[in-house]
Amino acid sequence: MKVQKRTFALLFYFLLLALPIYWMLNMSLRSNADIMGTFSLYPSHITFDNYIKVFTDATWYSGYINAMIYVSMNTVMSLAFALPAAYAFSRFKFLGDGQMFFWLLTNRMAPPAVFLLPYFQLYSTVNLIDTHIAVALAHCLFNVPLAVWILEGFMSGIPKEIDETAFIDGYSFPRFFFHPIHSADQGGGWRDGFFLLHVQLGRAVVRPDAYGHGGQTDCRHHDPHHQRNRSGLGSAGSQWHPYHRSGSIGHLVRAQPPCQGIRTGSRLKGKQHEFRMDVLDSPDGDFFYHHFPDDRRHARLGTGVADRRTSRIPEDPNDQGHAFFCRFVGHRLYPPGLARAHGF
Amino acid sequence: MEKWADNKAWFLVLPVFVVVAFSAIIPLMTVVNYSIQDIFGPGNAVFVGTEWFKQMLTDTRLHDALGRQFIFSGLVLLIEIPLGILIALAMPKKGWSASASLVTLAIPLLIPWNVIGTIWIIFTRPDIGLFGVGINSLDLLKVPFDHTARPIYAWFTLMAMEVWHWTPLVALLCYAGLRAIPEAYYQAAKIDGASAWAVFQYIQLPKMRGVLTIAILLRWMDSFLIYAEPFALTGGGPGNSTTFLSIYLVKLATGQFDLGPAAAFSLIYFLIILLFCFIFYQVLLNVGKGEKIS
Repeated sequence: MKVQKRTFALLFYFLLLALPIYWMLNMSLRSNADIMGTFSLYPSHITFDNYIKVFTDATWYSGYINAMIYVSMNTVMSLAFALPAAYAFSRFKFLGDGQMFFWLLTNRMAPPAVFLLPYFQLYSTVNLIDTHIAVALAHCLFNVPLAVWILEGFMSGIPKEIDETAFIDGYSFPRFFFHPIHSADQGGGWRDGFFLLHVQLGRAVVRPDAYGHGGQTDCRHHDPHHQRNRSGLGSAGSQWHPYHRSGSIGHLVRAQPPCQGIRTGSRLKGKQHEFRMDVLDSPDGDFFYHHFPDDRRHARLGTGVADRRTSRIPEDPNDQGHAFFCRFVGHRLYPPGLARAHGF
Repeated sequence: MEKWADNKAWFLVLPVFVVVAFSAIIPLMTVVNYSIQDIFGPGNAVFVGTEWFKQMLTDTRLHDALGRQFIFSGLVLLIEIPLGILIALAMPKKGWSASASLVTLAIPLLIPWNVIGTIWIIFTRPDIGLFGVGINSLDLLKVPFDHTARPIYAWFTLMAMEVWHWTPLVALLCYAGLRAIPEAYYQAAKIDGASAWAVFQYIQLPKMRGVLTIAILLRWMDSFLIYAEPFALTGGGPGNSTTFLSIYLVKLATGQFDLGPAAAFSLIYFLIILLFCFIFYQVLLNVGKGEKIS
C-alpha cells in the first residue's frame, strides 16, 4: 500500500536523523578507554563520569554560565531595540524605510568573518575586551535585524484598527505601547494587567496561535444586562471591554457606551436577521470584522481598511455565522454623535 | 495593509540604528581603512591605494574558494530542496503522529552549529564512529573512509552534515505551505480524477512557491556563509579542498595576519553577499504578489 511505503520511508529518514545523536549519547555514557578500546553499538559499561565532570569542573560549567549571561543580555537588548523599530516598520511609512529595512537585512546576511578583526580593535579601544557585554553587543549585529524582521511580520498580523481604536480613545503612544489596558468591566474575566505590548509579544513569541483559536468564546456573555451596566458609565469613559474569557485578542474588543447598536444573540434568536459585515483578511489569515446593522444608523470606522469584502452572515447563535461573529477582533459601533464627528 | 505616513517613526527606529551602527558601520569602516593601507604595526601604516584589491581579485586561491563555494551551495540546494519536499509530502497530516514528526524533525535545528561538527566527526571517524566503522567494514571503498584522508570523503561528510542539519528546515517550511492548501483543492482534483503527480504539479507545487522561495534563499545565503562546520571538521582540508570563502578569509586574517588583503577580501565578499541579499529582498517582496489579487 502506498501510504505504508511513505510512512516507512519517513521512519527510515527519522532513523538516519537520530543515528548521529544516538552515537553521541552512546559515547557520552562510556569512558575514554572504553571508547577507544572496543567498538560497541551500545554502552555496555554505562558510566556517568562524563556528565559529573561537565557539571562539577569549572572549566566546563563556567562556559554554560557565560553563555547564559550573554544570551540573556542579548535577548533583552535585542527585544528592547527591535520592538519599537518593528512597530515602526509595520505601521508607518517614513523616509527611507525600505532602504533601512534592507540595510538591516544585509547585516543579518553579513559574513561573521568580515567583522572579526575590526571587532577586536573596536572593543579593545572602548575597553570591552573580555566582557560579557561585548559578546552580547557583537551578537546584536545578527540578532537585532532578525528580531526586527520577525517581530515586524507578527505585528503586521495584528490589525491596525486596534491601534486606531486606542488612539481615538486618547491613548498617547507610550501609554498605548507600555501601559495596561484598564478594564472597568465587572463581569469580565480579565482586568488590568494585560497590555498591548504583552499581547503583541505573547502572540509573536509565546503563542503564535493566540488569535486563531482563542476566540471561540461565549458571545452571549455580551448580554443586554451588561449593556445596561455599561451604559451607566457615561459616554466620556470609553472602556476596553474584556468580555471574551479566553486569552485571545478578543478582550480588546471595545464597546462604546451607549452601544444600542449591538444586537445580541438572544434578542435575535430565530429571527434570522442579517448583518452586513466587512471582512478583512489580515495577513495571517485571521478574520477581522467591522460590522454594522443594516439601517446604517451606526457607522464603522472606515479608514485604513484594505481588501474589503462584504459578506452577509445570518445572525443565528447556532449556525456558522454566529461562530464567525464570535471571532471578530475589533467590533466598533459608534454612537451617532461620534459617528458624525468622524464624518460618517 | 495601508501604512500611516509619518517621519516621526524614525525615532522608533533610532535605537536599532545606533546599536547596529556601532556593531556594523564602525567595524566596516575599520575594514575599509585596513584595505587601503599596508600596516606594519601600531601607528606605522602606508597608504597603498587599490593594491590589495588588485591582489585579491587576481588571487587564484580566492577564485578556487569562490568556485568551491558555488559548487557547495548549489549541491546543498539540489539535495535539500527535493528531499525537504518529499519529507513534507510524506509527513502525516494530523494526529499525534504529525506532532511527533514535527518534533523529531526539529531536533537537528536546535543543535549549535559547532556541536553538529563534533557530532559528525565522532559519527564518521574510522576508528570509533558508527558510520566510519560501518562503511569500512563493508569493504566497498578502495581507500578506507576517513574524512581527513581524501577530499571526496571530506566533502561527503560535510554534505551529509549540512543535509542532516538543514533539510528539516526546508521540510518544515514546505509542510507549513502544504497545510495551508484548502481541502477543497484536493476534493476538486479527486473529482477530476487527477493523478498524484498532477496534484503535486498543479496544486501542491504552485501553492508551495512562496515558502519554497524563502527556503531556497535562506539555504543559499546560509550555506554561502558556512564556517563552523568545515572548520570543526578539517579546518578547510585536506589540502584546501573544503576551504570556503569564510574559512579562507579567517586564514588570511588571523592565521597569516595579512590585514590589508584580508580587509580587501572582506569587502569583496561583502559585496557578493550584498548582491545576493538584494536579489533575496526583491524576490521576497515580489513573491506571491500576483496570487493575492485573485
